[in-house]
Amino acid sequence: VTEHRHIRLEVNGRSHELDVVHRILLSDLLRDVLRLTGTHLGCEHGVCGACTVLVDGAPVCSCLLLAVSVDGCRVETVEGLAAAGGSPLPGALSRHQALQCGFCTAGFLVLGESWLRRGPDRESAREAVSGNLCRCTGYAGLIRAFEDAAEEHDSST
Amino acid sequence: VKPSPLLHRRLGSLSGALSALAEAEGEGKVLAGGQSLVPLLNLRLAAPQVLVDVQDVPGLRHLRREGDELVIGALVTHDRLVRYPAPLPGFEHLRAAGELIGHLPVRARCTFGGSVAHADLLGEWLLLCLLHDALLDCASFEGLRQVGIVDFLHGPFLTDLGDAELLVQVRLRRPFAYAALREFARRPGDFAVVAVAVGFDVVGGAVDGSRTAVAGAGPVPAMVPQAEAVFDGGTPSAWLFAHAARVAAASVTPTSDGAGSADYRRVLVAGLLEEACHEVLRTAT
Repeated sequence: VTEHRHIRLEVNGRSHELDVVHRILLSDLLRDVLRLTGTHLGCEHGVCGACTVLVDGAPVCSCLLLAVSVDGCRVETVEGLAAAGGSPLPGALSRHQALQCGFCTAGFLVLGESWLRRGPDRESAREAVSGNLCRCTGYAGLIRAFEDAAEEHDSST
Repeated sequence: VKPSPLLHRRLGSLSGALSALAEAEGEGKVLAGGQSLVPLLNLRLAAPQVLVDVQDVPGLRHLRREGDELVIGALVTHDRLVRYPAPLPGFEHLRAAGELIGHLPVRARCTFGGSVAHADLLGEWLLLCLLHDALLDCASFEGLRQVGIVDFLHGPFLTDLGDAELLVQVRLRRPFAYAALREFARRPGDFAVVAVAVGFDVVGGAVDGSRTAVAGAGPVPAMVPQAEAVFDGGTPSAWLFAHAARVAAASVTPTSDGAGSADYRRVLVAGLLEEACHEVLRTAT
């Protein structure tokens, strides 16, 4: 039996009403149904962080959430952050060469955004980036970029 | 990497969730934060027919002192506990321990009750349940049943919870003036290879009522009464801590596996216990 349910989601400020099968993951709903392919899928079991999105403001691995579990929630993806603009992170990642192939980048941008919103202290950039995997550039550039973005974030608020 | 077909039931009341579990007749699984269960579903290492999603069940997100006890609702997330706005006297060290668990996205979803019921033997909360002599409140249609942590834990991923039972809250019964958890993990956020927790009070300049619990150095996380015998009545000092650490390392019964040999695990027990003792004196709860 394939069970369906009608759910409502706000994604990047837009309301959606969808009929979904119970087993579909939020990550697959975003990519395959809503065609928001900026959210990448790496490991699909909560280790790599490439699929990180914000659900009601909190960073989560979208591969570890059933879409039916986030019925009624507000979801922000990397596309939403890009459209909103104004984040110091993309520029900082570019300046510090904190990306190479780009597969992990969307996850780091969303993770970094939630870290900035929580009010980062300088020491915790290292801890913040440790949640996601990057296999090309390593973390030195990412840590510098996060710290740089935090400074810019502080001076603008 | 997708879950098998399943029926997801999201219930807004405790009785609704308990009936859904009962109706699943053993084929159901409770879904809380999902940070351990959904990976298993994705890899199809678990394929329950029914998922009973308890996130809307009211009355499971409280964190309060009742006398000496700290009562933690099953759906309190790690992040909530770590950043709890009020002081947690006698249990303040839970914050530092919580920060060792996974990473921010995990801590934002993971729940205290979910971790304990999942029963990964290297889980920090399980070890602290042991340290603080926890009593677990398990609900079912038969009513509420209280189980001590030692009886609750049967083995790796195995607990005393019945198919139609839900862990609703955890009572940490024993506060400590001084307590800390230290662990060694290959990477920050990984499950530990060995984790050690110690707690004690100091009465008239002497250690009193100490408890020491160790994970990763025996079949299940366990207390180390031999170390407690060394601590109690002693004057807190580097010498006492080193002595207790040596005794603890000699008392545990680790086995060798891919993550570390038995000897290595004993070395970790000693080092971590000594570090934990020094840490508690620096940061009194």
